[in-house]
Amino acid sequence: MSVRESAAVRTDLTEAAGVDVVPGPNLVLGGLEAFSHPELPALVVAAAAAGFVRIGLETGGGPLNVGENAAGAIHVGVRHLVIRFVPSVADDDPVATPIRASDAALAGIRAFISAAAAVDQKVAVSAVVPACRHTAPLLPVAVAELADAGVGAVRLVADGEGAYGSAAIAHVSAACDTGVVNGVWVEVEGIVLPESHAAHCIIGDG
Amino acid sequence: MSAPLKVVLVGLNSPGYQSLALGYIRAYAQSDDRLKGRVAFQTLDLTVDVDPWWVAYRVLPLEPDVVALSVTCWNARHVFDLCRIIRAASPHTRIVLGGPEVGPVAEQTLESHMEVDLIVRGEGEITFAEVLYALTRGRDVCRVEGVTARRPDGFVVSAGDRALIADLDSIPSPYLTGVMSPVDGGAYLETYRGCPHRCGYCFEGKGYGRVRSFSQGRVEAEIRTLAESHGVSSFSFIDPVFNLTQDRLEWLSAALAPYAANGLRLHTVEVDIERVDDDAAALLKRAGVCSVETGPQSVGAAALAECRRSFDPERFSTGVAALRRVGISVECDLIIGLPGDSTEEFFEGMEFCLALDPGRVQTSTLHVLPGTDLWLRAEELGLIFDVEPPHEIIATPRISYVDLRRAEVRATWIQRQYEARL
Repeated sequence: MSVRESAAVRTDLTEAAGVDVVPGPNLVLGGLEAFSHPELPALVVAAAAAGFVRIGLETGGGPLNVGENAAGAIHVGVRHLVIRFVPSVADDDPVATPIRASDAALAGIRAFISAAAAVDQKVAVSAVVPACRHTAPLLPVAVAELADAGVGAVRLVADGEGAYGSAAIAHVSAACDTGVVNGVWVEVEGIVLPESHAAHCIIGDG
Repeated sequence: MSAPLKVVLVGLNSPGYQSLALGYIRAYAQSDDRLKGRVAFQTLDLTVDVDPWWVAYRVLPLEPDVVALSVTCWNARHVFDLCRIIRAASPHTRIVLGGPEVGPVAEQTLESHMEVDLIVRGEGEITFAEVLYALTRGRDVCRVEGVTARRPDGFVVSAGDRALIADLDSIPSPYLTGVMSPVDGGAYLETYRGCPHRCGYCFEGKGYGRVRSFSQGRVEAEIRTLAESHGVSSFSFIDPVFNLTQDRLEWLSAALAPYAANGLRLHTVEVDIERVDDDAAALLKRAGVCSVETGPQSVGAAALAECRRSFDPERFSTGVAALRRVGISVECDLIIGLPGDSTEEFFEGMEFCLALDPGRVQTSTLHVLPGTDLWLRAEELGLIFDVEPPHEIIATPRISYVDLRRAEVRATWIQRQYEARL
């Protein structure tokens, strides 16, 4: 994995300053994993100095559990998180501790929200979840778990080509309903849902 | 002389609020010479999040002859729960209700709530005092103007309406009389009653029909006393339109300016934003206003027409910009589920408001409140709503139940995104 030079990122920030997207975020520092950039705090501060007021990070969520990352992100000015979330199931091994890959992300979300609450700071956390025929049955539970962790919106993105069978579409629709019941807005990209759930479908970039 | 009638006024308020209504009721009754020495008052200003069983635990040891409560759509369920407990535990206690949730539907309320004895309709100060007078003299309360009551034979009867109070200064100030004290450095003030607008969903005007004002001297005395003697640093004006007229705004600004200069702040006053220009914004700033609340409630032409509201996007935007220039935050309000609106139009409204970067965009779901125009026309408009308080909209001809819930969730997310900022 490689990271972009800070100077190049700063140049981009300066050029993009003034772009005002409401409701936000105005700016998302992303890539494979925002926290892998060694100068992330300085870049966030630079973004704020450039005039961005709704700064977000794209992350898998796990790094938020490390050290003071969650509180530090709030401190330097991060107000939005976009979590790349992959639903997973517990290992079938009855001896192994049933920790799933997605647990770290959920814990990271909680850490960030808790850190924000500690300083009475409003934040917005969304998640992007790949949806394919294989993961479709996990989606309703994934949405419920994300809701429980404090996520406000989930984008289910079609992963790969090919048609989705009626069973998969039923799972995706159920994920949308799970979101509404739990106060989380779910939008679906790249999958055609029945008319009853068309309100959740987005076209293009949404 | 017989023992005084023991009257307990109970406020079940939203957390952080005080009941100005109960303050007025008590201040007026206490000033009635006919009741002096015959009635003893006690006020319990509590919050709606207190379990009714524990509210009753506070009320019943006072052995009240009369318990009076102000009912809104927000506290109604708790009030009725409390009344049921009091009725069962103390059958002789008369239970009197007033307020917007019960006044417009007084007979229906009494017929469906056997635990309630009497409802004061409309403006309550004089009527409540007359009820107490009738009780102290053993007279029939059913004949008191403005009252709907259950007779001993069980029939519910309504006396005629009471005329509005012509001179609002005849109501003693709850603050100047010591009936109410500010809490946590904050106080509520009312400078007039009635509303110049007739929005279909709103009971703000309370059917008063016209605007009546407290005198300038009275309002100035309240401001002075609260700021100088009680150390109040935050006022909440409950007036439906703070900038009712230019003259009035200039006067209020001048009255508040000396205190604003020393740190007094006004939070979330309601303004008619389409009448705010740079001069008005400066007056509001000088008065210590730090945030205002305003519409547009909807930007859809059909909804605006059904709700009898006007909306000029250009003037609205100008008003928001003027306030933002002087550092006043604007809360733009939008309602989900207005008749005539689709979900698309609702979100167009959000888009319009967000583009102005007002500071806050607040969305709420329509409540079809008793006595409002939408309540009266609900069938004609095809509005399906919960008959139980808080009377939330269930479906409209253009938005299904499911789509209303979806719109609420999506709107909340958009709000959260907007508010999450440096």
